[in-house]
Amino acid sequence: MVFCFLSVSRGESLSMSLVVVVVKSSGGERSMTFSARSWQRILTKTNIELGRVALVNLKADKLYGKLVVVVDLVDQNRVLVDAPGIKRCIINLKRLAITPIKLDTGRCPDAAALAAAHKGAAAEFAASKWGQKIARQSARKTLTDFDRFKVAIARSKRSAIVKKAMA
Amino acid sequence: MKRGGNKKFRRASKSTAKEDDDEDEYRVVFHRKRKETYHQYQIVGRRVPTEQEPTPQVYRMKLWALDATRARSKFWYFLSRLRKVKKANGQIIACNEIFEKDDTTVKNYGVWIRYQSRVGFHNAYKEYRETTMNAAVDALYTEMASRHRVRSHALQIIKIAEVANEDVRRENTRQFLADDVSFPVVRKTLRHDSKSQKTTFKYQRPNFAIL
Repeated sequence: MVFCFLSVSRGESLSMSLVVVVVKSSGGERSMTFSARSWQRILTKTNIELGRVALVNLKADKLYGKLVVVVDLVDQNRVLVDAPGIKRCIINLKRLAITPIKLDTGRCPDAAALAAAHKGAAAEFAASKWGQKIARQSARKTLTDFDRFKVAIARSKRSAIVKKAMA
Repeated sequence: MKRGGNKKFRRASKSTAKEDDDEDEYRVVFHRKRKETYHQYQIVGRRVPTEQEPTPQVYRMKLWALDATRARSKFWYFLSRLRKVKKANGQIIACNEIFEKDDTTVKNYGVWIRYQSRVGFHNAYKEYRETTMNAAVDALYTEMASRHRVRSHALQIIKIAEVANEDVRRENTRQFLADDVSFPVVRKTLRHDSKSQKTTFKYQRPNFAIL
């Protein structure tokens, strides 16, 4: 699968812009059209490849919330994923949210190499905006009723200070 | 999802007869049918021994079926075509399921098949990338049904083998073998978290601006 970017046609406004990509393979050529948003995703380098780190974001999946590493490619819809503490398994790409993190683990790394690389990736993800948001959400979920009350008080105090400063 | 449950559909029309029965009587419960998957079986069988033939030839066959009963049935189907033994004059000595050891690495499987279409019989070779042979057989039956409208009864597996990367014949299989393969996920749709949250029509804010 070779991607060859031939022409980029841009409409008047940003929402209208389309990107035409010509895919060259031994079977011949065919063109694909992407919307601006899809193309943005491609430009931000969230491609599926070996070592790509992804988050399982389908609640129904038993690996929900896990940060997994792509260790092998099955076909264009499914990949083999691994993470410390789970059994290596095939997962559909529909269930994954792709992160910009890519590891140099290659194809099917052993458990020790994967664990070492995953540690860095987990730290990097936790430090990112996305990871912080997830941490914040999960922290919110664990709050008790009294904790929520404390948060509400703190918020009202903060807004009072802000209002005073801005007045 | 409960395993092996039958569809339970009771109507409230008979409520006069059993008024004291609990509300379970009026509950409508649908159990979704569990997805059946193919399993590999080893069947060993022979003719029933007679005085003329006290030690008949024993035949062993490895085949795929949804369950052991269907595997035994398939065994007699194939054996009666290959040798002069049939279910009426034969016996099954053993029927075991074969489990695969390695289900955590992706392998290329080549499948040689024979199938009956509306026109006639065809031989074909197909390749699948899966972690187990059973999954490859599942994929085979699904693909043959969808692409070629071949139902399971009209499909016979001649041989299945693991294919080395350099011996892969199909471009669709080969394209995932290189280490530097990289492709985007396009047309990713937002998914509901569970079946209960599924909606046919999703509200979306209109995407336009009035200037």
